[in-house]
This record gives sequence, structure tokens and C-alpha cells, in this order.
Amino acid sequence: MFRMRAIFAALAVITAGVLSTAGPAAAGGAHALITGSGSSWSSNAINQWIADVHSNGLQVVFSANGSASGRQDYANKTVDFAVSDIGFQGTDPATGASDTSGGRSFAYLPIVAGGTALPYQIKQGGQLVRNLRLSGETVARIFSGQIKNWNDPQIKRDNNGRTLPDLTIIPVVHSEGSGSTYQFTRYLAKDFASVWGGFSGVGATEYFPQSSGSTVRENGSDGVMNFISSAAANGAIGYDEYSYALGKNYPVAKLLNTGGYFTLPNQYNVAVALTRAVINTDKSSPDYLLQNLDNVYSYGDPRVYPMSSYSYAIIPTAADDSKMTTAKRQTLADYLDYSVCQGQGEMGRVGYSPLPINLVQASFDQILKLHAADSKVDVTSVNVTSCHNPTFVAGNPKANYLARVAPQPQACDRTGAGPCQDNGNTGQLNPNQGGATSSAGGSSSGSNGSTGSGSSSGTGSGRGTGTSGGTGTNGILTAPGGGTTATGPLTAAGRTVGRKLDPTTGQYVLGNNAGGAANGATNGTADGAPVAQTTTLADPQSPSTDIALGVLAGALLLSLLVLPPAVSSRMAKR
Amino acid sequence: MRVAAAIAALALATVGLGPIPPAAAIGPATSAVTVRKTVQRTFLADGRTTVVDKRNIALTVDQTTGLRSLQLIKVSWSGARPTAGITPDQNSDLAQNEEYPFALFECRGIDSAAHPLSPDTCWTQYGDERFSYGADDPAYPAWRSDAKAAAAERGAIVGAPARQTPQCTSLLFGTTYQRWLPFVGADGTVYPGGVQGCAGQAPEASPANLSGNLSLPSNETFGVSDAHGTGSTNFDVFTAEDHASLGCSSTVPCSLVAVPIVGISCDANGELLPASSRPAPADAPAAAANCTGSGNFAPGQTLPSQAPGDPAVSGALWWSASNWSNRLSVPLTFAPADNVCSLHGSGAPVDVYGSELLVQATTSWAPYFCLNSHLFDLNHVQTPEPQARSLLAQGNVEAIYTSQPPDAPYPVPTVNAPVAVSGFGIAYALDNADGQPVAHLKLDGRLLAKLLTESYPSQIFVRAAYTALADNPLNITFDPEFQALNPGIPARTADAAATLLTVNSDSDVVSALTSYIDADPEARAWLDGEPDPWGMVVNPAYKKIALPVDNWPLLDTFEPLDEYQPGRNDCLYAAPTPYLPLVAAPTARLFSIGLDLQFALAQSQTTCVLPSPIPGSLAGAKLVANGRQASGRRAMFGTVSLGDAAREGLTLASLESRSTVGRGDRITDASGRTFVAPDPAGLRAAAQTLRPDPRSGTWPIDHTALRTTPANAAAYPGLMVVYAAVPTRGLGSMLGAQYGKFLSFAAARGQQAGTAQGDLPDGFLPMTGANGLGTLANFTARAATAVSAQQGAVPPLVAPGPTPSSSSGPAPTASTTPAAPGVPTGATNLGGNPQVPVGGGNGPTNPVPAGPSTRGASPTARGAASSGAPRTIDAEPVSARTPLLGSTVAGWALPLMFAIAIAASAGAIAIRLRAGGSRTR
Repeated sequence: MFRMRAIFAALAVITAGVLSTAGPAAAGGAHALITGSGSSWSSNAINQWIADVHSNGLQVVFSANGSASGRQDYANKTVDFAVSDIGFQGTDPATGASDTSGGRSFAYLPIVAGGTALPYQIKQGGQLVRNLRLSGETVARIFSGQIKNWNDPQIKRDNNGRTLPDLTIIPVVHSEGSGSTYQFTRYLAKDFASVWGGFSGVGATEYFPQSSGSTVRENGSDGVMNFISSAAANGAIGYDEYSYALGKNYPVAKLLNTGGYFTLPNQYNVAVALTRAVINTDKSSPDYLLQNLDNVYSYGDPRVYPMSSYSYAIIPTAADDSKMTTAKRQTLADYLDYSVCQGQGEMGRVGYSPLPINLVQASFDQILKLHAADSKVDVTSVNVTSCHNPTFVAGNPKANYLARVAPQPQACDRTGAGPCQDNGNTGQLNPNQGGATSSAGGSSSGSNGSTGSGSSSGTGSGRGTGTSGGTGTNGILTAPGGGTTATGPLTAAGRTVGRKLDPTTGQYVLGNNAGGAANGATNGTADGAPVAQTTTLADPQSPSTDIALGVLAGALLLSLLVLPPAVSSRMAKR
Repeated sequence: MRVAAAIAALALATVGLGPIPPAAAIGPATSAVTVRKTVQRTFLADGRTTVVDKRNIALTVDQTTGLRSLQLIKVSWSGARPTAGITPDQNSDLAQNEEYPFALFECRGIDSAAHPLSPDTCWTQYGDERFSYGADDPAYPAWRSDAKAAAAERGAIVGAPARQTPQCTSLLFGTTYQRWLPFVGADGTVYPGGVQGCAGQAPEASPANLSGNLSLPSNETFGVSDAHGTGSTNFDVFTAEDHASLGCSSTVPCSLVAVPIVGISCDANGELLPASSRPAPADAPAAAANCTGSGNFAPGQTLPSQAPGDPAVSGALWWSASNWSNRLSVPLTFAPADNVCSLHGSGAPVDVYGSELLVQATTSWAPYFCLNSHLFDLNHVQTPEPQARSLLAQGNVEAIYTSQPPDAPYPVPTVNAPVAVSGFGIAYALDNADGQPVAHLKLDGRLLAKLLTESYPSQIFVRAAYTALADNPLNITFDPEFQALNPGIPARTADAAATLLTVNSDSDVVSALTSYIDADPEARAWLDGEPDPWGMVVNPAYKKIALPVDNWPLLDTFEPLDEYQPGRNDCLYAAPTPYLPLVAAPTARLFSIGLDLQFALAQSQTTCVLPSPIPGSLAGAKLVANGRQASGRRAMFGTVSLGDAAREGLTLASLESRSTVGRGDRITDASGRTFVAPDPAGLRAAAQTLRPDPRSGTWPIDHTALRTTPANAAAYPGLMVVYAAVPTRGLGSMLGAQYGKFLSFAAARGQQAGTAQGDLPDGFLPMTGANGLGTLANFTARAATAVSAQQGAVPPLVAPGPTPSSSSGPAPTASTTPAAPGVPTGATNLGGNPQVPVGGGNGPTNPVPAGPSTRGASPTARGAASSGAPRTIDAEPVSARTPLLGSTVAGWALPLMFAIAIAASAGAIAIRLRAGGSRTR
């Protein structure tokens, strides 16, 4: 019996060898550890990517010391790359200090989108208030010291007549030069100049203006969140990227948008808002790809989270950069390639919002500059088709799928209504979710091949209540421009590439079929980027499966023919 | 029947054994190495050699094989000359100025008589660690009088590159001597170095000591030997993954080289040199003075700033022939790198969100998946466990790693399938009175409670102003309870010694830690307000705090305003906030706590950085972390995962499991108390206490039972089970199959301990029958089937019917197992364990197993194998078939093929056996 088992094992080895069709993809060039520093706003994203690529042999060390320090480190060549929420300003408006790359070559590339959230602690009857709503003007008055108590009538108005407790407001700001401070003050300075200008004196700044009173200054995102959630901070409100509050399940304020709704900085509302970001597309400009957010703040879509922005990596492009080697450039190229491509898929769940395809493509073009600087850097794998990015809409590289499927706010989120009695901060990341709805029902009735909407593209088919499942009370999604109903649930793990918007009908179609639609669509981006190819996933019911099985059977047959003689001869040698 | 079993076996082997390398069963404990050498210093004068110092050195390295990138190895030594003129950071470039340091380097290559190692391949971070120059006249630095050096190395200018860069020319203007020591990179590139690296350095190098250097500390170490000549340190191993220029890898061996500095052996008169090269008689006294010194400082004394040690006995000339010839070297070998997965795998990655406890395991598992063409890219997205549960409950993700069941049942039937058993540890960086790392530490629940509750005032100015804490010790090192349990550790003031660094996000680890504290009667009574036997009280902000919590709150609000003054702490003057929460300074990731402990990076945010970037303003002034603690005087504690701790070589405390001592007793030692280390024995003992809880569908840790049951005294209380929570309905067939494959893997192949791809690394207790965890693995195997099937089944935690331990019996036939609706039986029963849906697929969402309805599901070869012989069994078979279920081919053709192949093979074998049997014996 033992002998038999051994033979079976030998058989299996050979069989498996026959069956193995693809080895690991060819690895690129050698890698070396790289270091970066900067934005703590985006550091949760950066650190996740660093963890992800470890198994790819990339070693990246990132220090979240703030955008200002990151740019300074970059200029001083103490790091290989920086991450900053803004570009070099030439001269810092607040400090008057030089803010340049110090002659070091650089290119910007957007790496992730997100919302600057407003985490707060207000206890009422010993319980955390979780559904605070604030207008931008109220925020400006709070952080400029003009509103000092949570029972202020203006806050009461924001919350549709609900009175908050008599509690001193503690504004919490970043003490370090911080990109989140910049995004925060830029929004206030731009849209609420009459309130903010008198206080600040400067417009947008990374260094929060000196202020008296109860303002608390904390270092870094950890410092800000540690303080806001501490016992000393009842009445506190601060600002930081949404992921920090999400990880602590800590409430953030819903912020009033131009459309008259109070919204959360989730991936959908951020994606909608950033469809109005004006990206510098002048490749000759030093600010190529940097953002102008004025139209984001003023965008009237009811789903917009106004304080949305992109964060940027800064990379050295010169061939003679003394800090760089081929191995380091290779690591940087591969790390950023992963980050802006596959790494985007998980961002929505951890409190960011994925980049749309046109920015992914633009970032790829920036990554290619590492190859231009050193032709030994292998960038052949940089390819937008492998991204599994949930924002992609085939045939329309400027579109953002998330923005299209973003759910409309609830009626109780409208100014003059509500406030909603939801938790404010709990998830709702899936537009098809629509609250604690019938996801179970959706799953049982939803899909699994009934219309094909779920099974082929895999994933959370039926998690929601999409139309394909037929139970979609909350899952009706309005596609911009057409009022077309999206079909079924948004898949949960970034596999929405399997589902495509037909450019002519506006209907979402299956990935398998979308291939044709996309191939017909063609065209490039404004700057000539190629159209993403659709990624189709195998349908287990499809004929191709049987073909595969036929191959499998053939392989087995082959083993059947080859193996017995092989075993025999091997045994003969013993 | 027999054919069915054979098919099953074949199926198991087919998918499993193909691309898998043979299991490596290398235990790290076996590779400790001790080497010995007698080193000496001699003076040559008038043709006579005098031995002026002689030492018998023993060097021990605790792990020398299978090393991985940035792993800490423990290096200890004895017999060295006591170090004098000690600097705070043994890895900084100032440390080379210590007198009689025990210098350690990682060098590429293996030392042999035929091919001795050269300093050229030894890594140093800073330019001045491999360059010596000066403008003295006469120009006789100690190395020019080195009796062991060849004549060519004793000239005034040695090793200078042929062409100087303008920067070097400028910086070296007017110098009278230069000694260049190039570094040779793994690719053969020669980096000449020079002052501030002016002639070119490896990209990993730094020109000089950069304050705020962002990289991790370097690994060259100028270790401190105590008054007895012994010392120890943790050495950070670099591999090509993190250090391409040094380039150590599984194919490029390297060495740990120790250079015990005993001083330059002198030939001050140049008696070994050709006459023409000897110092002028007038210069000989200067040469002798530079070479024969025995140091400026006393052993143990601190090196004053701006006063380097005597070069003749300092570490700065580690490369000189005298010092180099005294070296001891230990060969190091390295594990294959993790860098095997393509960045662009085929198909979408399969994501699992959640627990950081599992990171080291998923890091090892990922290459196994990405390299197996039958599998897929397995991606672990790290999020706090409660956040992951929320994402799963909302339908935002498909699968998560968690250690706890959800507060309310998941809305769809979901299995909590154990994938790893590990836990939390309390890591520490702590030095004893001799300045050496403390090897063993005992902590109890009350001490952890004291650290967490901000009850140590940390600083005099806090205690003086804060009435409630006026009688409490400053930090744990001053606490008589700590001193009684851990004698010999001196009291030191440090903010980081007043707190336990932990995570500030929601975390199952915090929940487990606080459950442990809550179950300790001493800790609980103290938290409720009872002073400890020495009078220390809980911070009133935490009095009677309800535990457990999954997020440790920062509750103290006291501001010592006398300290918050200009010139004392400008940052806190500008923006006063409570002090003790800044001391606590929890952070977002467990991983970063491990890194902080590895390098003793104190995180308390109480250091004010000035000047502000805005002149005349305090804007931009900021409180930052205290930063790296001085080696020899470290004192900090943190919560880490056992996986990270094992990977990084962190030192972990033993935790009290039981005490028979009266709560009010002023103890003077550890007697009457049991402490358990997080080693396999402690984890195994804890694993025995796990009991299935059908209500939650998990095996919860009962900390109260651990504490109160005497038989559990040997159990490590930090044990935690990590589950993969995966819905068994609604994933769709493709994803269901993929997650099913993963669970099958986790139930068997993934529990194989080792360092190869796919193995379970150190820090985890394999879920095997031998470890008392066969039931958990068996459940995961059955859960895999349910996940693959996506019929809404949640199998019972414990398989009903005969126990799955009889691995010798034949597998049951297909006919004994009722098929799930819609699932073709032929494929499902390929060695699998079919599932029966619970409640018909539309029933309650609570994953309560329905006992009777599953009676028909009897254990099979799979179940038996996973608990009986995990090393030989692979994961995939059942679920590997699942995606094919809908196929007409799968229904009959494949089994037929298998059967034919097997029959044919068996026939061939039978024939051959009969023919050649006599020969094989």
C-alpha cells in the first residue's frame, strides 16, 4: 500500500507539472530598499501598499512626518521620494521660507484621493453624538474662534433645529506643516473668505495660523486622533483624512455641500466631488497634474463631499540624481505602479477613494520617466489593464464608475430636513447597501447566474439589492445623464472591471460582453493615453470552461500515456 | 471503493504537490553558534615584542541560518576588555569613538584561510567610519604605526582614488595623511568614500551622522562590554532585499564579524618597515604617543561630547590590521527572499481584510498562492478587526480575518474558520544595571493596568502638581512590585517607561489584553480603587473602568501648567494639552510598535521641537516623539503580535497566569506566582483550554477560566485564534471556490511550521492534533467546503459521528453522504466532506449549527488527514474542483480519466514489481 501511495504521488507530480501552464511572471530588475517621507493624510494608504508589495520583494520605508517635511526631505535628498498633499510652492505663504525642490528634478503623480474629514467628540448624556452636521461657514467660524460653544444657534440651524449641549468647542489643529491643514484652510479661505480671511491673513497654508483661546495643536494624524478621542477632549473637533476616524469607528461631521446636502467623505462622495477637480494637463508645466479644487467646492451635485482632494508622490526624474540607482528606481517604479494600479482597489474600504483611470494613466506616464532616466529600469509591466480599479469605465477613461454609482443622499441629509438618525460614520460604503437592508435577501435572490450579473464578475453579487436580484428597494442608482438604472450590486472587491457601462445605451453590461463594447469604443484620453482594455473573468458556466476542461482531460490522457512507461523504466533502474 | 480512495489521494496530491518545494524543517533554535579566539595587543620596540593585553573572547550568535531581511539576531560575548567612553547610540557614527568597543559588522563573504575577509565588504553607514585623515605634523596617526599592517598600508596617504572629485580636493586641502577604505558593492562597484563620502558612497550610505535620518538605524554596532567583559546586543541583519549594495542573500552568504577592540599593536619606530619608510627619529616619540595610548576614559564612563576616545583603542580604526586580525567571524545564511510574486498577477487578487496578527503568516502564504497556477493572488488588506467585521456585515468586503465574532450576527450565513493560532505579546526594550538587555521579564495584570491607566506620573513635575498621583512611583522601573518580580533592573526616568505602547484604533488585541487584565483579581481590585500593597493608586480617571474594551481610552486630563512655560516646554505653553496622554501616545498599527521596540524608538510625544519655521512665532513648533533611547539605558514596553515579535527578534515578557499570593502582600520576589512565556509550550497549554461555543461559532478564550483553573497555570494568557470569516452564501461560485481553496489551504498545508513559502512561521502554533487543535483545523476544512458550495451551510464546530482521528481507514464512499442541493455528487466527493445546508438556505442568519441535520456528513479522508497527518496533505482538492461543477466534462470525464490513469499506472507498477521485485530488495 505504501508503495502504491508513492506511485500516486509520483503520478501527481508529473500530472501537476503537465497542468502547470504559467510560472511566475518574469520579475523586473533587482530591487533595493527605498525611503520616503511626507503626508500623514495619505500614510494609511501608503502603509497598506507597502505591506501589500512585501511579497513582491519591494522594501519601502515611509515616515509620515507631514507634507512640508516630506518636501523638505526631498529637496535635501535625504529621501528617495516624497508624498505631499500639495506641490512645491516656491515660497511658503505662511513662513516666507523657500519651498522648492532645491534644484532636484521632480515629477508629481497623484496616488490616492480622499476626503479631509472632521472628527469630533461631543458627549450628550454620556453618549457620543454621531450625526453632527456642519456647514463650511460654521466650520470657518469654529476654527477662527468666532463660534465657541456647541449650543451656538448657527450649529443648531445646521442641525435643523436640534440643539447641541452647552459645551466649549475645542478646535484641534495639526502642529506640523501639514497637507491636511493646507486642504482645510484652502477650502475655508476660498469659499468663506469673509469669515476666514480676517482671521487667517493668509489663504491656504500648511501651518495653521496662530490663534488664541482653546485651540489645541497636535503632531501628526495619530496625535490629532489621540487627542480628539481622549477624555480631555469633550467638545473637540479636528480635521484629518477619513481613514483615521474609520479605523477608530469615531464620528465625523457631515459637511454641507453646494447642492444643499450634508455628506460624509466616503469613497463615492469624494469620487463625485473630484470629477470637478481641474487637473493641470500641461505637460510642460512644473505643476503638471496638480489640482485646482475651486470647482470641487462649488459643485452642486447633492452627493459631493466638498473637502475632497488628491495626494501626490514626488519622484526624482533626472538621470544623474545622486540618491538614485537602477535598483532603487526599479523599486520606486514597481511600488508606485502597484499603488496607483492594483492598490487602488482596496482604498475605498479603508477610507480613501480610488483614482480614476485618466489619473492612473497619467501617473503611469510619470512612472515611465524613471525608465527615461535609466533605461535599465524595467517598466514593461506598467499596464493599466491589470489594475482591477473600481473606478474604471471602459471606453471612457475620464469617467469614474464610483461617481456614477454613488448613491444619492438620504432626504434627511438635506438642509432643512433631518437630521438623519444614522450613525454618521458607519460604513455605507456600498451604494447598494442602502442601510441595514436586505443583503441576505439580495444574496439569495440576487444573482448567482440568474441574469449573469453576479457570477461572472464574481464578488459580492447579491450583497446588495440590485435590480438583477429584483429586490432593489434601496439599490436604485441613477447614472448621470440618463437616469438609467444600474444593474445590480456594485461588486465589493474592486472587480467592477467585470461590469462595464455601454457607452451607447448607458446600461451596465457584463464584463464578458463588455469586451466587445469597449473594443468598439476605443479612443484615447485627452492626452493621448490608450483606452483600457477590459478585463474579463472566466464564467464558470461558459463554453470556455469546458474547453479548459478538455485541455485538462487531454493532459491527463497524456499523463496516462506517458506515466506508466516512465514509472516502469524508473523502477527498472532501481 | 478502493478506486475512490485512490482517486481522492490522487486528487489531493495532484494539486498539492506540484509546485511545492520539499518542506524545510529547519528550526531556528538549532543554528546558534559560539566561536572563541584569543586576541592580543603587542608593542614592538628594539626588536622585542611585548604583549600588553590578552583576552580570551567567546562570541555567541543565537541564529545563523535561514535569516531574513531586517531580522534581529542576538549576539553576546564574554572576555572582552570593558568599554570606556560610552555613547548613547551604539549604531550612530559617534559610537566608533568609544574606547574598547566590541565592534560588529555584517560582511559579504565567508572567512577562510585561503580567502580571508577584508573590511572592504563590511557595511558601515557613515563616511567617517571608513576614512581617517588629518593635518597633524608629524603625520603619524596610530594606524601608521600598526605593527600588523603591511608597509604599503603605513604610508601617509593610503588607498586614495586615482582621480579626486573637486569636493574631495576642497575638503582635503592641507591634510597630511589620509587613509581610504573603499566599500565594494555586491555588483562589484567600488565606492571610495572619503570625507563626507566626497568620492562616492553606496546609495544606502550617509555622508555623516544626520540627525533625523529617516532610514532605520544601521547595523554596524560598537557594542559595550561591561565591567566583567561581557556584553550582548541585538544585531539587525540586512539582506539584498533591503540592502542591495551589501547584497547578502540565499545565494550570497555573509558573515557576522566581531572586532573586539583591544588597541593597535604598535611598531612606533617603524622597525618592520624598510629603512627609508621609517619615521624620522624626531618623529618617533609622536608616533609612539599616538599608537601606544590606553584610553582617556574609565570603563563605563560616558563619552563627553566633542571628546573622542583615544584613537589607538577606539572603534574608529576597526579596519586597521591590528584590529582586523583580532576578528571573529560567524557565517550567516539567508532564507529565500519573499520577493517572488509578480506585481501583475493574473486575475483579480483575492482580498481578505482584517487582523494584523496574521501578517507574518499571510506574508509567508502569499508566495505559495501566487506561484501556484491553480490558485490566485492572495491579498491581506490590514484593517482593525472591528472595522473588518463592520465591513463584512455591511457587505463591503467578502472575507475578513478576525479574532472575535460580530456583536450582532452577520446578515448572511458566515463561517468563522480558524486559520491561525497566535496571540499578543508584551515586548520590551530594557537594560539592566550593567547596561545589557534584560533577557527575561515577568509582568502581571496589575502592572499592565498601571501602565495603561496613565497612573505613573512619569515626570517629577507631574507628580509634584498632580495630587491624585502624588504617592505613585514615577514609572514602572520605580515600582516595588515590578522590582520584586524583576530584580536587577535600575530605576530610570523615561516617559516611555510609564506607559504600554499600544494601538489607538479599535483592535481585538486590545480586547484580549484588557480581558486578561480584567480577569486578574489583583488588577481588577486595583482598578476599582484598592491601592496596591505599597500604596500606588489608579489614576482616578480610570477608576472602576469597565473591561474589556476594544479601544483603549485616553482619559487623563491633568495639565501640569507650571511646566507649560516659555523656555520649559514652548509647545505645551503655546497649546497646553494633558501631559499623560502624550506620554501614552498610542499609534495606529501593531506593526509600527514592533519596529519601535526593535530599535527602542520611544514614542511619547513630549519633546518640543523648535525653532518654528515662522520666525518669532510658535506656529509649526511641534511635540515629537522622544526618539531612540540610549543603548544601555533603554526602558520601554509595547503590545505586539507574536508573529511580528518572532520575525523581528523582539524580546517578550512572561505573563502571570496564576497567583496564590495574598492581594495585600508586599511581595519581594516572584514566589507563589506562575509566569508563562509565549513559547510553543505556553501556547499549546493555552490551546488545550479552547472549547467550541456553538452560539458564536468560535472557540473563545475564557480568561476567567484560564485564571481560576489550576490546571491552566501553564497556559499563556495572550493566546488568540484568528478566524477567516467568510459568507457561505452570495459570493458567487468563482469567489466561493477561491475562498474555499484558501480555507482548505489554511486547514492543512498552511499549518506546516517552517520558513518555506506557504509555511506557518514562528509565532504561530500550528493547528494540529498534536497541539490539541485538530478540531479547529477539521472545522476549517469543512468550512472550506461550505464556502465553496455557497449554499448557505454553516457546519457544526465539531464534526459529528466518529472522530476524525482514524487516518488509516478508507474514505467513505460517495453514497454515504447526501449531496447538497444543486451540487453534483461526483465532484463533491473527491475526498471531500460534503456540507448540508443549515435551515434550507434561507433560514436564520445566526450561524448556529443544526446538529441533527448534519449527521449524514461523516468525516472523510480529508478530515482525517487534516488532523492526523497535516504535512502530507494539501489543501485544495475539494474546492479546486468546485468551479468546474457546472461542467459536463467534470461530471464524468475527469473521474474517468483519473481512474484510467491510476489503473494503468497501478497495472504497470504491478507488472514491474512482479518482474523486478527481487532486484529491488
